[in-house]
Amino acid sequence: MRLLAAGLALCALLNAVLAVSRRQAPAVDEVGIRLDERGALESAALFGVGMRRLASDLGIIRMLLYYGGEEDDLPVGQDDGSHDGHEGHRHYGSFDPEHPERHYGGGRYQRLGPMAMRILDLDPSFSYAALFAAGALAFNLNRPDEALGVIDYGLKRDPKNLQYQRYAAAVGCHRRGNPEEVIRIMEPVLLDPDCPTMIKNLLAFLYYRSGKKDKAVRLYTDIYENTRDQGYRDLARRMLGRLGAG
Amino acid sequence: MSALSFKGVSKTYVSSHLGRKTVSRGVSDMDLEVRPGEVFGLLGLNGSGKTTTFKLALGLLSPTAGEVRVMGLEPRDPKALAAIGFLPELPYFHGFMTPAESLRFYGRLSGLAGAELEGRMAKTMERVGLSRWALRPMREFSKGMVQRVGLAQAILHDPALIILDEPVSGLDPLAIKDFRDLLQSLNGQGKTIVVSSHSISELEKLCHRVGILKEGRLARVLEQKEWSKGLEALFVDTVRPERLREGRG
Amino acid sequence: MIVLALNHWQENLRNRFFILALVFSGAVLYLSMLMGLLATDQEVRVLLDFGLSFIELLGLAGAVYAASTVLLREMETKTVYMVLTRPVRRSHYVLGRFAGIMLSAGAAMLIMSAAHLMILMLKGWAWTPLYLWALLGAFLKVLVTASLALFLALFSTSVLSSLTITMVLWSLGHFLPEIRLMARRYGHDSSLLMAPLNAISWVIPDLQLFNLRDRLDVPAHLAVSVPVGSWILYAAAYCAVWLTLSALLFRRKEF
Repeated sequence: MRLLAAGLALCALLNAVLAVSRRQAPAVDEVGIRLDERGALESAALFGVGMRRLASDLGIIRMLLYYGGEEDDLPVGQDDGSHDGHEGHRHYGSFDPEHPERHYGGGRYQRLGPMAMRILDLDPSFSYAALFAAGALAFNLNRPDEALGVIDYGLKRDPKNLQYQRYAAAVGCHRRGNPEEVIRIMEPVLLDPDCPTMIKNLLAFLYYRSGKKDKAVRLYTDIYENTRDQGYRDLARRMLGRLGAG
Repeated sequence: MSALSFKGVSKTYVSSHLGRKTVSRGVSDMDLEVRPGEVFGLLGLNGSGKTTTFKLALGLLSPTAGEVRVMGLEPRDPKALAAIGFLPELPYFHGFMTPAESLRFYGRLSGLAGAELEGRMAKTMERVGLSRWALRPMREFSKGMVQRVGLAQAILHDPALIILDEPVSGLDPLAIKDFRDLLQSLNGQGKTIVVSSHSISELEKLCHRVGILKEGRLARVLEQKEWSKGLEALFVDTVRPERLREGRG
Repeated sequence: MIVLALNHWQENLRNRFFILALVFSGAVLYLSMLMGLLATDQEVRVLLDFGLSFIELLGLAGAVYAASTVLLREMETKTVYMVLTRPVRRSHYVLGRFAGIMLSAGAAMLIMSAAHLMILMLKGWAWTPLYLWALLGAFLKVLVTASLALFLALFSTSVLSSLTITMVLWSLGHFLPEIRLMARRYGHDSSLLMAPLNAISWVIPDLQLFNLRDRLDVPAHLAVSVPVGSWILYAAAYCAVWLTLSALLFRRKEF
């Protein structure tokens, strides 16, 4: 027992030295350690084995599957008035493919924003999650206020991230129905290796709508050749066919 | 100087469980001298203290009282350990290891290396009859073969004192004879051998002297000439004299 | 010591369990690739994180299991007698066995990470030396945890106790930042309740320190400086405490 006591005392001393020299592991914020109601056990388990980043990875997988699939929020049998959109999943209201910026309406994929914010709680540097969700909310689901809420959440954790500022500006322009301005603001995002395919797809569509056929063809070709999402590849192929370049 | 000496040695085991202490005696007040170059046998019932005696000699246990010396040195002294070869009861080797690999390992631990080690290995395996199986995994070996590997690791480094705990336990008669011949050959080279066994006949054939342990005490030490009419009767007489009295009565 | 370490390494190489573990790790990497597909644009990140996490877990499982069982098994089968009755210091025996365990764990982790890197490169991942730091961090975690497991095995003489307590401490070691936060936040109001937690936070190893993989891909403006030298020293010192105590315990041990 004396040996055990000696060991514990020495460990305490080591930890004290670490604390005094301020070399301890970075502190966590209280928001980060909150357990999400839908994944409490999973989060706790992953935190317990030191896999915080993995928790955020599972979060993004879950979010992409959620957004990429059929919603299960509606009671069975209720007509949600939805239809197929150019994103490959259902959208709501009367869809006009020639005027996508006017439409989308409705409050579907309600958990998209909260899911993205949860991912940021786990990994504040995982801006892809926030930018993807903000882009989907603003440009596909026509919920710009929610999109700005997600961007704001990301900015609080990463104030120097220029992409958040760019997306916020683009959302503003999209709200005002100014697709040319959206293109101008979002074009530099294409250079980011982490640019979500969804944003590429949006810009390609805006190019197509504004008659910039060459740029549209280039971007759809890039999507078709490089994305791992089969939905977007199929969509790109269809659009390239429509553009006469497939 | 004795090869092995015990002076007033006692070993007490104390165990506690849920606050209750249990004290048991391993050996009590043992005085023993093993002369250099002799074969000394240890005989006793189960629990009489044979293994405790060996462990005290090897430094695996420390005496509660008294003094143990090996070649005049403390048992844990590296020089003492270098001069000892030990074969435990039922030695264990990993099944996927070969005799050559095991001997190489133990030889290196004894400070052997290079060509000297390889030479000793070859010679030792030849001696114990393992040369043909040097490169076979030991999972294929019979009990007798494993025992040979055990003996090989005990004599590989040419120790002056060889301690063997039940070396012929579970062996067939031919293997027993081979073992005995080998031990006699080693003794012929001047090695001191201390051996314990339940086989009284083996000790009769092998030993110069036999010590009989009873309840942790060295009850009697017999010279070879004393058991010319049979060691068994003397052993029984020592460990259960009341039976003799009943017989007479 | 070197003889003992190399012997353990050789035993592991021949042991089917070790080979099976490597095969299993291949299966786990394959699983990581499947998970990565689900993450589409973030496939490489997911592959990176899953791969590094499982490399650490598998290395840990092997090392902690070995540390908890090797010495106890050798005492049970009396193999230890044939070693300790040779001119081998008991402390060298313990340290040599531990070195062999870490050599095996380290080699396994390197083999797995070589396969992991190959898959990452094929997926277009851009190499960064931070990967090596992340791997080193994982190894340091395994080292610290295994040294604890070894001491607990010798102290308790029970494999189950050693494994259970080690895994609990390993998990708590990752929660240290949270434990400190709770102690700070609730310490004034519920000091009696927080006292055990506070006490624990002083003795368990700060394993979050070594989660250098959490710092991969962090943008430069968010990155905090990592005093890697200090943390390596911490791991070495922590490990040294438990290995020294293990050696002392073993020295006193009677067989």
